[in-house]
Amino acid sequence: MRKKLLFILTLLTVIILFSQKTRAQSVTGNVPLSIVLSDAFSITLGATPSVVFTYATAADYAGSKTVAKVGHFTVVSNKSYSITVKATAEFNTIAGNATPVSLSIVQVSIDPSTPATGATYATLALTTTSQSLVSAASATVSTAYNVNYTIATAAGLIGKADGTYATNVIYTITQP
Amino acid sequence: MKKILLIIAALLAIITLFNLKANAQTVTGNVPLSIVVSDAFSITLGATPSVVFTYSTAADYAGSKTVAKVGHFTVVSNQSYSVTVKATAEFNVIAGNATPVSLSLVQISIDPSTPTTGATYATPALTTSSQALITSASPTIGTAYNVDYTIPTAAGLIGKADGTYATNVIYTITQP
Repeated sequence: MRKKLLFILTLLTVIILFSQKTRAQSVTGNVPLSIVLSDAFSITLGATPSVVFTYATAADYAGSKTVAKVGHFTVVSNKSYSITVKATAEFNTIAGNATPVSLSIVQVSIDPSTPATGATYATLALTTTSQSLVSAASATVSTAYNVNYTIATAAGLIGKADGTYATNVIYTITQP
Repeated sequence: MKKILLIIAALLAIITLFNLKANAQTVTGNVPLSIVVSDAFSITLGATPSVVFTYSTAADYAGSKTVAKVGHFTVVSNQSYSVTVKATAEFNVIAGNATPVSLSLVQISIDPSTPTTGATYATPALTTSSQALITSASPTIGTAYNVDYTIPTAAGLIGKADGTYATNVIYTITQP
């Protein structure tokens, strides 16, 4: 009888031990994590966006001039995007000119040193209507564009009155 | 009831579509662009500016001689301009001549092969005072002039001592 009791006790102990082992299971805490994606994009101009062409000497008039703007604007876009460019207005007119200075003497292009974007680039003569500069660029967390402004020939600048001819250039980014 | 639910569902779908479209907005960046124009002009001589008349044979004396200087000088000017010509001094005197060789036996003219300039050309005989050669030429980013130096008759060269008679010719460009 005692033997039996002892045996049962042993069994119970073993069971308890096993029980404890089963109790030492893992405990979990469930944290919901979600990322909310909305379409978002921005275009931010670099530190010194102004572009100035200076024609002071005969040599200036004789050749081609390029103003290279490194990091001219930076694009962030969660989707593929395109950029258009236009001038807000024609150059101001200065009295004494038979014909005004044409916007189209200024060409805008993306410098090849710009990081790869997968886009198609165009070289545009400025007008007051939007023209496609960057087409179908890949989505980017940040791409800084190097932009070149070029006056290929001063032919459109000769015979004009002294002074400063100014306008504003607008870059517009769109997601398709 | 089912119909109403369907309508609501359809409405929600349309609203969502419009939302998407509203998201595909445009963002712009504005760049000031200016061209500073100042009056500038230059006259640059071609590679081999020297002009040499050689009278070594009887035939030389018998006829008219022309030294044609192609691309003799190149003008850049943002405004209309004129060019005058003069000699810095009379020809050097060589002992034994009753009268010195006169500057005026050399005539200067613009060759018709010169690109169109819109100017009026004169054919002055050289003197030590400035004379108009090119009057009211159109502004240019680079016009190369072909200039002819002519001694129509050697009458002023006969009865003179052997030797080299030399002077310098000066071209002066002015903007009105």
